[in-house]
Amino acid sequence: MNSATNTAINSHKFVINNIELNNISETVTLISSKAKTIYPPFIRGGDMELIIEEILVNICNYAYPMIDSHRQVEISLDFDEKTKSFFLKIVDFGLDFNPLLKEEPNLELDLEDRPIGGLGIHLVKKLASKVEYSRKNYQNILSLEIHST
Amino acid sequence: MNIIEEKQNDIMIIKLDGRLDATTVPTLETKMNLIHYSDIKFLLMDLEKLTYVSSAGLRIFLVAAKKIKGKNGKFALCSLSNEVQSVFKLSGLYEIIKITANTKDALEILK
Repeated sequence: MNSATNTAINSHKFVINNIELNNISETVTLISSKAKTIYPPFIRGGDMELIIEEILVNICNYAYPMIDSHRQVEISLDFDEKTKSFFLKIVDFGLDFNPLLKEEPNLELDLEDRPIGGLGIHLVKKLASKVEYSRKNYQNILSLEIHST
Repeated sequence: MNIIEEKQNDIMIIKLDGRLDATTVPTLETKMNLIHYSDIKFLLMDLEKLTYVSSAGLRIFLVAAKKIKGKNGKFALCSLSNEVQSVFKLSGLYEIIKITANTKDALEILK
């Protein structure tokens, strides 16, 4: 077991403490399992896992680059019965960092010229129907919409 | 994630079983570094049992393709599930890495 602790504040809210690259998968599975419980026909669980992982990796690398006691992330998960869409809000309390400003990778380049990395946020943008960033009260807030089918 | 290693003549075959994410990547990276610093020039990675891959995992395949090419060798991936294949397509790696439907076809390419 690692140091991540998860506390459900309500049925759709999770507070993750001490987020690190080596405990991200635990959180990813926790949220996607919850989504599947909320709406069992949800078939894009893998896409949701990918979206959450890529965002958490970015938070670890850029919002919380230094090891400190906090490293807290709050994730809320809501489901709109009408549109059958999930809404994710991922909040961290780290350094000001907008992942959506990252340069889009050039997918036309040959193998030799293709840079290593930079694909994570590109995948998030491709898989989510909507992604928005805001910075409020020293918090990085990413809001996403993910269609269930 | 489990990593199974096999050798067929000059070809190294790495079979991945499980999830390749930010948490499991370091284990595979250690293994791959050993391969890259060895004289292995023909590498096949069998992804039949790979259930999930994120960008952290994609890096491993991109690095491997570049390193093997740098040795004038041959590199291929085979047996991707639909989910894994879709991540490769979205990230533009599908066009620049040799990917086959099964092991047999991949071994033909590596001969």
